Amino acid sequence: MRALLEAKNLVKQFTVRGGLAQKRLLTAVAGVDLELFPGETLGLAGESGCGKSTVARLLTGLTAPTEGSILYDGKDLSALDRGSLARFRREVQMIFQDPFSSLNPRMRVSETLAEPLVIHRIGSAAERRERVAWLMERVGLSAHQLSRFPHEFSGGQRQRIGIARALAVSPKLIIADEPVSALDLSIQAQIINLLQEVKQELRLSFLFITHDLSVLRHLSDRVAIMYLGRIVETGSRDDVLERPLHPYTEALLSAIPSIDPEKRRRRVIARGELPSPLSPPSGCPFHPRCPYAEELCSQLRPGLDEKEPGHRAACHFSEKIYRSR
Amino acid sequence: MAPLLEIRRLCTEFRLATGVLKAVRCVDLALEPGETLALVGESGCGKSITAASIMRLVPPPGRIVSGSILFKGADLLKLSEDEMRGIRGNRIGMVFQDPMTSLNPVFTVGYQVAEGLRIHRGLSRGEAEREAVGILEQVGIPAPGERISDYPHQLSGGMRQRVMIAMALACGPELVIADEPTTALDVTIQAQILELLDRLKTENRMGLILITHNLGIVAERAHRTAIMYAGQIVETAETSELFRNPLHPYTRGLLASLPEFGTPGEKLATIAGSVPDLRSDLSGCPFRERCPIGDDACAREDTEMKEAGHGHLVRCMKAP
Repeated sequence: MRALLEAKNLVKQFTVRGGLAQKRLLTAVAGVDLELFPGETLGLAGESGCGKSTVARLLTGLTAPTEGSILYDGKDLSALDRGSLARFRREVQMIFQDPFSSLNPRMRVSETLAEPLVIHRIGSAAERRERVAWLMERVGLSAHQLSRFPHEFSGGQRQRIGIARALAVSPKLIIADEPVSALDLSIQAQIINLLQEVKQELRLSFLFITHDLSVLRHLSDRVAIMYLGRIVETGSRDDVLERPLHPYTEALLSAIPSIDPEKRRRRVIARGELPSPLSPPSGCPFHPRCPYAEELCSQLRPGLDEKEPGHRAACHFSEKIYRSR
Repeated sequence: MAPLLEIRRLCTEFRLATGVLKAVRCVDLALEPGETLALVGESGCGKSITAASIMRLVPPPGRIVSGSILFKGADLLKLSEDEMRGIRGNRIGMVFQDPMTSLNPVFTVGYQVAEGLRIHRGLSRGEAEREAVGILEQVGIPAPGERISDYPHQLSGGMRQRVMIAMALACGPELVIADEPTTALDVTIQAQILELLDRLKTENRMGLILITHNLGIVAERAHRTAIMYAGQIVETAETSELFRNPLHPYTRGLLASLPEFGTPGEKLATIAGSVPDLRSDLSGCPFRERCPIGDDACAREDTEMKEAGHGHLVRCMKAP
């Protein structure tokens, strides 16, 4: 099966101004390969500053990569003609984290939901009105609320509007950047269920970006873990989250406070903090925090190698560390 | 043993143009020295206003309308503003959620940690700074002698939160109130900060009120837990008992909706609807409209806390 979206060796660097007109290069994404197949949900996880949101912006074409390429339906994004680019922009939609800042406060909900249809010249005015009312009901709101402004809705309702806007133009792929992190607990479950429903009903592919591994486990088919601009482990949900082969994944999993006393694993606490992407460590980017690091780790950066069928990890010693399991 | 803190029938209101918002409605809480009490609820449930009430820092137009807050037997609500200033930051410390907005950007972190020592202990600037270095070291800040001349923006989020904790602990408080102390942090840093708070609490035999919406943190860190909904405590028990045997339909709903307990790919249990407007008439059980077992009787009368054994209290007339 051909991947719907494929990233090859994506690199994104930003120029940061230091003091006294110094310019330094910040590598936010340092060589990422990803594949997303039709109908699949890929979960991309990592802590703040790991580059996951930059990956989302690159994949939606909102920023251009410094190096590497993105293929949509087999075609290179940078070489698309106007017509194909418009199709790409219609078929790939985004859902954002903050339902407060991602809706225009001066637009009525009806205008917000109709705008993508107008931009892509879909339907007549009457058809758009019908579509907008359908969208509203589909995400669990009422068509009577269409003339309201965003401030008249709660956070959970606004996130529903954000989802409806993404669905307006019948996309194939949705990239959702932390869509439930800003929501209260009882609302989070409602939105997770809504995302699942629309995914199945409309046969969407999803790229789901989050720092919350329990949400990740619930929604993803495959998982990729990022650290300091690189993917350090990827594979099926169960392989990565139940039998991790990278010490960073293990530390991330064991840091999650759990309600179930039996789930509280042996704590592997990552020492120290995330190094600055302005001066990444030599060798393996995780080695200064890794409890298992050896000399080789500071000298040679491990590749993202296939350790088990479909399960890749970038660690020199994963066989040694995790063999006993 | 006398409790360290005992809150009795605390009510805090906000008089707004659109009506009176009853943020805290008759809250009872008690905390022993060395104990961690978790106060749990969703945004707007009144947990942060309860904390602000203890410190007597309710922002206007809010005010405490009734009740008492006994700190080692003395009612904080009866103290003068001067006496209260002698307690805040001295005998009761506070850690806020967002260290970027709670630290003053124009003063060095050393100055801010030392400030409490100068005010409450009358130390000179030099003495206070020397002591601040020791406290920063205690909270795990590397090279504290150099860090004291840094400004908050020069530190990472985790380091800033350590500075906040150092400020709260500087004067050796008997009680620390931590309002979502790790919500703004990454999980690996969160684990470090919670470990630190636990260690310092045990070493200094402080009481800790941990305000959070993260039930995993509660399960791992708190001795007792109080669940808040619409300004009231709806259930309280020892933490292990609460998670093993939740009695209030709201607590049950919250636990059931966690992705941790769901089967991947399947529907999560949800609580229908959303929280009621605290400006509206809140007679009867405020959860009844979202409740799977509520009926007409729940609307008729206010529900009182009832004892379900072993200090497990629940505010629900239908609960077993």
